[in-house]
Amino acid sequence: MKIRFTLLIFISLLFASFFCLQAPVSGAQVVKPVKELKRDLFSVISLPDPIEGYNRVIFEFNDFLMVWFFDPLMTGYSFIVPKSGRKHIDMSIVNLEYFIHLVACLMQGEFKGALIETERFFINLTLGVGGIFDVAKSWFGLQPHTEDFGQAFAKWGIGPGFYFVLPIAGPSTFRDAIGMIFFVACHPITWIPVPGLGTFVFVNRMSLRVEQYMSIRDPALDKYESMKDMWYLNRKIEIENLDRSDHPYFTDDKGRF
Amino acid sequence: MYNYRYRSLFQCFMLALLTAFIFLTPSLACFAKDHATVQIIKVKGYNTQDEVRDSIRFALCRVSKSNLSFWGREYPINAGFYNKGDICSVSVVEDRPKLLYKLWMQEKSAPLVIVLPGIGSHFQGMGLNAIAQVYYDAGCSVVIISSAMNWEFYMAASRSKAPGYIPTDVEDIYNALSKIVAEIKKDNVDKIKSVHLVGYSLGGLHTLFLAEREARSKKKIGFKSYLSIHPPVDPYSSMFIMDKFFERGTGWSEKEMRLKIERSVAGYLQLVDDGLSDDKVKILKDEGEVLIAYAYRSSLRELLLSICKVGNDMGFIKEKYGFTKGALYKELNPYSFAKYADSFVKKAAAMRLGNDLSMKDMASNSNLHTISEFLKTADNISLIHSLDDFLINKKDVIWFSRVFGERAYFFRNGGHLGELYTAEAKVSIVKHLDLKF
Repeated sequence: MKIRFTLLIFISLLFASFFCLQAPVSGAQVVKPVKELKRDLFSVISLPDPIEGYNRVIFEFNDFLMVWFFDPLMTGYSFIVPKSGRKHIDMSIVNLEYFIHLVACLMQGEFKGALIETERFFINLTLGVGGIFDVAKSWFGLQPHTEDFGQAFAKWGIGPGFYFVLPIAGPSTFRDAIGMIFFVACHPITWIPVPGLGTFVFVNRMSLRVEQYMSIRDPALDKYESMKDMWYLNRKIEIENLDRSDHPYFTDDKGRF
Repeated sequence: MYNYRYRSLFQCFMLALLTAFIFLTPSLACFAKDHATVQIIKVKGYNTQDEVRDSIRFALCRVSKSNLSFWGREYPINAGFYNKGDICSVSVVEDRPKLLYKLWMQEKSAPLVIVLPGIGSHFQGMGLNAIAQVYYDAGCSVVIISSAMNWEFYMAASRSKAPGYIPTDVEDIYNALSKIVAEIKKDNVDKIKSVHLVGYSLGGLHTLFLAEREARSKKKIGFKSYLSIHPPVDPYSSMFIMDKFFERGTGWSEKEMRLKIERSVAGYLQLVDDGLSDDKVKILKDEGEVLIAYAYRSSLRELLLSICKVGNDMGFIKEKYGFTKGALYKELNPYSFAKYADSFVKKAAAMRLGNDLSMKDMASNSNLHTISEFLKTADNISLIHSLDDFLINKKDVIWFSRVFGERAYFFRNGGHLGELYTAEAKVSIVKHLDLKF
């Protein structure tokens, strides 16, 4: 009888607790403060900067040039050439860089990329009127593989070295600066003997990027650090090819997202 | 025998039913009371992922270029909403640089809406400009300023050695807004019909405290209505949640951590450039948490840098602010918000107020519960939130619906601010501000 009574009480409470679990009021979320961070995330994704003093001087020089020389120059240039005109000029230059993309793809063993770049070059050269229109992408869905020598060196396992700000050219690493020497040497514009052509190509490209530069620069207190972090993250994304929306990580997501 | 067994089973069942009824009645009553006033704003076709990845969709709040003419698109300098805003300045605190703000004035007389952003945001931030555009397109003149926890506001308008204590921050914002509104009214006498205040995230919390501040002010700014979007109830707990996000990757190897950050940033950039892909943000949940924490911690680090720049480090930082900053950053990087609050904010508040405060005092004075009586009766304040915002919990939702009653509107999903890009949200933030046209 006693056991039965205990059982009765137990079952009653079980029922009651089950029903009460359905009540909508939840307890307050208790958040304990994290006093000391166990890991310095900033240093994980930051570049070594042993020549910070030099880099900051060059950065200030570049920034001064950007704000007081290139920005007004590009503003004037942008008034003469409309945005789509500037875009198409840049597209044709990118098409001329085919050889660099091809070699950089082959250096990384990206044979599919090399093939796609070759197809893109010929399609854009012919149907795209000398590369002014990127019909390879818009008509045939061929995504660009704009690889460079710095990316190829990175794939070979060569580390970035350290942060290195180049006069006028801007943020780089020691490895990418070496890559840039090869880039300039292999660039078709270097070998076309038209005075000022290189400057024109540079100004045209920068005119499309000045807005982006200012959008990072203006809200930052330490413009150097912001630019360095953003540039390096972007560069790492380029090296891992995560800047392509057709990257297998994004397309073959297997329900990850 | 059988009869006895059935009878005891029946007794058992009846007793259970009775006990459940006793326990359940108050809960049911509570449920009915709490949920009766929760008004849901429906969003068509919102494919939710989770509260973290939904929050990242705030990146889709961008200044719209669709209403630009052909010439505006081709020659974008000074065309488009972002560039059309005038960057103005006003002196707020003596011997300090002027406070910058951005202003879009309508041609004709219109309501003036001031928008306060989330923690650490600069007035040139894209999300803030996009919300300003919603109000401008609805026919209002709009002003935006940087967050009280942004370096720009701190260096120009904060009278504390370190911002973060809500009551003193609210005083500083109120002081700055009174000067900004006076300046605008001076130059545009007949162009302002009424003044309204909107804030989101931490700015939403500031908005509610500012409403209370305005109510007891003798020299009023003259706000006609307020809208608070996604405010936290307890800002300190919310910031500790962000600290926790930052700690998420503690178990990851350095390589894994780096790759996850790269993937999350790549996914974020794709979202900004191309919008949602397959109706999804292509970032994993843990990557999203680290990404949110990284953005928030970057702004805290920048705030700390500005504190060091003006020499207000109060002895907490050994390294001096100089031309090179590598060593200084090494000292600033490990600062969580909890550490910042427990050192900088606590000491700065004590110096400003003349009496020591414990963390518990600071947290309770910054909590919305302190002004609940005022909020219950202020019928010119509305609230927009989402049920799954990670900065609040279910108890907070109930508290909001009890305090604001029919002035509280909730989205089912969106996490923290992640539904604001939708057309329904844009309509709602205009509709519930109670503008006087």
